[in-house]
Amino acid sequence: MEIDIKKLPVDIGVVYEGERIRGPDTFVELGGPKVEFKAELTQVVDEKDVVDGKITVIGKDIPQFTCGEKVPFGILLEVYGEKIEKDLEGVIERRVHDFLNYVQGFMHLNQRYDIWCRVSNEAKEKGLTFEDIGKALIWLFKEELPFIEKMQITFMTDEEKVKEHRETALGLYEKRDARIRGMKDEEVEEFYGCSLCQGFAPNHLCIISPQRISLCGSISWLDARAAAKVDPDGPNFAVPHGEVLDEKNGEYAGVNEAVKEYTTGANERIYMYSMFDYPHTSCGCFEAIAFYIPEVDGIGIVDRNFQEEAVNGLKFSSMATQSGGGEQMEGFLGMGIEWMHSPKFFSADGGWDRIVWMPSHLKNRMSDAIPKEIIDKIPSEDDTSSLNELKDFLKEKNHPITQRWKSVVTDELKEKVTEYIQEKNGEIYPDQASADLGLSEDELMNVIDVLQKDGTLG
Amino acid sequence: MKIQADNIKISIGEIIEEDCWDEKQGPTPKPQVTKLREWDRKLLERYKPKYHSYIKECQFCAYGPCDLSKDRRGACGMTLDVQMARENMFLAITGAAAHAAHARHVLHYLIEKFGKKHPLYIAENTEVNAPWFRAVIGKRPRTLNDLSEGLDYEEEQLTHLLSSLHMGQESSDFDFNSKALHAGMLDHVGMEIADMIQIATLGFPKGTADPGFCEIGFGVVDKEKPVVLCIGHNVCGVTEIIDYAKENNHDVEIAGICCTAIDMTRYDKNTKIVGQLSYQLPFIRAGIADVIVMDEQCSRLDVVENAEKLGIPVISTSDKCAAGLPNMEEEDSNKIVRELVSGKMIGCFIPDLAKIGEVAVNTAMLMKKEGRKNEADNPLEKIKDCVLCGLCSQACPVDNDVKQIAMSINYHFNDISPKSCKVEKKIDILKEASSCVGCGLCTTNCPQEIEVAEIILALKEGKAVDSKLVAGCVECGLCFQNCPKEINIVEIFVELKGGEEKKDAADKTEKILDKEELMDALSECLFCGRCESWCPQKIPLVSAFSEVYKKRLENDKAKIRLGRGAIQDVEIRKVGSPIVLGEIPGIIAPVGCALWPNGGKELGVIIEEFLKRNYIVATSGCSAMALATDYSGEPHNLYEKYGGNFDGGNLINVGSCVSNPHITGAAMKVASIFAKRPLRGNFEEIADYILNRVGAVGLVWGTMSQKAVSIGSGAMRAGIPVIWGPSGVKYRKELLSDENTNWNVYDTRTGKESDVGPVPEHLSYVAKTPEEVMVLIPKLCMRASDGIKGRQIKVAHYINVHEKYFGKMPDDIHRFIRNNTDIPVTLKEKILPILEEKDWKPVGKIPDPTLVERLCKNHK
Repeated sequence: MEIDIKKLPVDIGVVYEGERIRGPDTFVELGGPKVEFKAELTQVVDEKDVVDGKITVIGKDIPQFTCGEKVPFGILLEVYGEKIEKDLEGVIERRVHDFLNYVQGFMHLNQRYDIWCRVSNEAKEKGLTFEDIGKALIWLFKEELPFIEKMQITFMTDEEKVKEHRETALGLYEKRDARIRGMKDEEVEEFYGCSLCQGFAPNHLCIISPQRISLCGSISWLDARAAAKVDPDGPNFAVPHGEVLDEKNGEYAGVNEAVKEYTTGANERIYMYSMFDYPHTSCGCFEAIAFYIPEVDGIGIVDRNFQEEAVNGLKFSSMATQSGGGEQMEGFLGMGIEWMHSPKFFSADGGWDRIVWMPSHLKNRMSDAIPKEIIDKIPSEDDTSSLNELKDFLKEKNHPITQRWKSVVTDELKEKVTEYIQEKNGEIYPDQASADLGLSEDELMNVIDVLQKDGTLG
Repeated sequence: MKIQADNIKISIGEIIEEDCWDEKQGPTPKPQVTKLREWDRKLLERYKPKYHSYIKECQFCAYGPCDLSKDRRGACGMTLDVQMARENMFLAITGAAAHAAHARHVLHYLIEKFGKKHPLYIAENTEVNAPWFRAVIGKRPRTLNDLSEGLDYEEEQLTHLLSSLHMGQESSDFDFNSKALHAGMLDHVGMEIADMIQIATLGFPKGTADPGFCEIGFGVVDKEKPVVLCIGHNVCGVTEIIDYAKENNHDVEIAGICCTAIDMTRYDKNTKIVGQLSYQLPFIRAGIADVIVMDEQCSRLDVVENAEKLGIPVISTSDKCAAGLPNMEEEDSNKIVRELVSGKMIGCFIPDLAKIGEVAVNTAMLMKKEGRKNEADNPLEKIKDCVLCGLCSQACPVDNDVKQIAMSINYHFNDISPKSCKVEKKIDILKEASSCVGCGLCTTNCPQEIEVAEIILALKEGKAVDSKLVAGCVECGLCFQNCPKEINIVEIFVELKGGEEKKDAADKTEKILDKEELMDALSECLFCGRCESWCPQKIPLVSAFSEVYKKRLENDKAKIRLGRGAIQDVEIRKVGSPIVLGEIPGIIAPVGCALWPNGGKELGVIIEEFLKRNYIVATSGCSAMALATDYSGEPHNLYEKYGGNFDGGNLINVGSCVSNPHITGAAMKVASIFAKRPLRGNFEEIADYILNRVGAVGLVWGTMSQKAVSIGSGAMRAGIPVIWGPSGVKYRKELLSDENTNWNVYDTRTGKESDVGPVPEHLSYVAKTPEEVMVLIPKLCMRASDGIKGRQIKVAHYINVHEKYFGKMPDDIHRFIRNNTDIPVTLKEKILPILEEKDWKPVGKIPDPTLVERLCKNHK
């Protein structure tokens, strides 16, 4: 099927990606916050079930609306390609946003059941129809993702039809998400590297696995795989993970090699699932930063939309400077928020049991990712505003982290003991000392042991 | 059991406040004049100077003036190129000094008020504050007092630079050009210091993403209230006025012109901005102000004179701009007010800012009550005196046909048609000329510098006179005004020129503008008053023009986003991904004095084009005002249309001209935040990072002041190219690449050199038209390290604007395609044939680019 995008009534091009259609310039709004029913869906189907280039409109077409209308809107893309797996549906669907925005006079926001589109008065005047938009989409998809062999599109503005379509779509999104969340790092041979940010941060390389999304949050393993398929020499490329060197921390021989090569030796080892020893590096555009809180031996998380101080008295902006630029900084880790859904989320460091603080809005947003038994035990800015309060809160709620305290010598404890020794001019008696410090003798000796080991005490 | 505590240290005594900044000190903290000369050489070898000389003469020393045209040398050996480089540097240090002195004054004044240890809290959600200070001074300022060290350094450096202007110093234009870049860098440090002080102490917005709006325009000032008009750039005195009025519940209207206005709205958003520099004369002449307070920089030098005519008292406050007024700081405030209001004193100089609030507010209130003593005569009446000599048109710095405007005003408002000032009759030349005594008064009077007396004497002697000699005559009649023999010289010349020619000339010059055309012509007037001072009839042209233009001026009302100060770290992090992925194709900084005819209108069109294209736009000072309104027509309302985040399709106002380093500093912060490049004393590496990676471009569409030169030079040294408006040639030079330019960079990974193409193509470019700017912006936003998607979208915009404004594909597109993957999908059909035709070859692997060899990983 031949499509000539030059013959369409409006221009098609990447330059329209940033085009915003404001209220007064809008002819019709498709979907959006004022409309209940809307959804876009991509389905990979059998070859026989798709007529390449077919565009169907159910309900009114653009020219038939009156100016200022807000209408239900559904899009269904059905694609076939010998090399297309079901798993690529989400990847293809996400490109609908890019490609629809390439259409001059058409704006697309959000995704899935939340889409919000506008057609400008100017585009309407030029005679834009869904047929034209469909043609542009099909042409763009085939150019950019050549593994798509056939494609047909259905546009819906009929309320009943959109309602039905939305129901189906909601079920399928859920299935898709469940399947993707169920994918395991152990089950694949290849992870993907992403060097997109190297123009700005040459010492950083992102390693993306099924259970670890890029730290900007925009590229999943499936996205990276699709991109690598389209352009094997591009910024997303396969990294065969090779021998598993450390299962718990997530150290892989192949990953180490790739990191070494792409950072020209700036970094040589990476742990995929830990913030200690050899944490994954970051550029600077990570969505959130995880930070170690030595006082409670736990991990806090703060995202860049939280502008107040985190529980440790530091703001996102201050902590973010600790990470970034491809430097490994123990105790700080830039991350994509979606990673919280992954079972590998800090799995080496204790997973959710180690998380002791998050801003409330992030907790709400990610409530489905946080295990039920711990969600109320993780405090936010509403519960605690200092480390002392944090400690009390965790104790009170019996957060699993309290189990760790029994065996851990915190900096605070060390300082306390050191000060005590100093006070006594270096002469202490274990029974008296343990009573004075409120510790058991075992605990005290444990601390002294550590102090001797790290050279504080001779 | 005894434990020896060996390694425990106890410190007793005063805590020494030492900055525990652990960032490694870079190679060039507080660089001396030539310390960054090798970086400059890299820039200046790539971007060669192209000089523009209007006056090819040096008159710096008493050997001169020396003619430097035609490859001639001055008495000291000076050449024209070196002199142009020297003069450009002169402009740059003048600009830098203006900001530095401003910063020093603000620092003195505010340390006095807030104490040395007042903390420097500059921006919300920001760790990397003061990027210029860090990169140049090598320290991280924490308190007001820490800033002093930066100014000490700058003042010392400026002295060195100033000394190089002396005769017999630098002989190479390269060294002057390097020094101009040094001055620019210093200027950004000084500006940053000035703005940090005021943000930290005066409660200005601290990098707030959307700080709200305030009103701007000729028409927003409430004339019912007593009006204090503040002109200049240093807001300290104005804060005293605002505070005094508030504390005493005095309902006065506080309005401002120039950057002082922007800064006072950051202090109190209920104050009003009238507009840029070009508003000064018409607003003063409109008689709206009850008192005028001047501080420093860009004030018109005839403020006092104009105010005096209307009986408006003037208070000068800055030791850089005392305006000849008597110093009254020791006098009792009430007495000063009385003398100002009674007209006993036309104005006074009060450098003690603490006193200004009381004096200015009380003077305004009393003036309002008692009324002004002088009212201007009807200026339109005075136009009747016009003799159509045309000197006004010659005087106009923007080539407006002022004479035509005057004629048209006469036609519409004074009922005088152009012909009626002329007498049409045939005369006997010989007879008329015979009485000439050769006194020469006519020649002296002639605005066209025609040798009138010689011609009349020749005629008297019966000689033939070539009509060419009188071709320049505009028949103004000034020649015979003083003629002792009352010879009708004009008619003689009319005869000499011949009937036909005269008729042609009349047709050409005597078109009367209709009322709408007249308004449009006036919209191009700068209201600078140069025409007035040339007018032999002493007609108050500016007053007449503002009177006619009043209707539009009164409707000149708009909103401007408040100056927000720095860009937050968090905002920079947020745009990291969209910039890498190409969704945001670049950052544009429209700065400088957009004061030329339609300057704001044109700037608005340019900027909106790129806001729609999702570029980030960050502006300041006069350009920020011009983007709201420039009195030339409808206000743009861009601020209300576009958001104020540091994000694609958003329009940020950082503040006044001293806020400019927040824009260039944002580029530095990219290096610090994304690549963790240390800023500390590490200017060269940071500038190299920006030049090769951060797609930012400065746009100085209105070029006027010396400060614009230093601001632009600082951006250039930091790796940000600058596009100047057409008058930019008057800054003496451009820095351009040509076909022989070497575009090699080192790949930091391997140390090997490779050609990355002309990105960015120029470092300093004078654009002749807005259309040229349109295509330059996307082009100069391209960088060597662009990712594939980023380059695709930049290329797509370049092609798209080129087709839109020049109607065709650019002929150099092949130079910006590195590999096939750089070609946007929808443009393959257009680009591929060109690549074939140009015998284009892909470059292969994109290097990790640097111009600085020591930054390569394997460098020893």
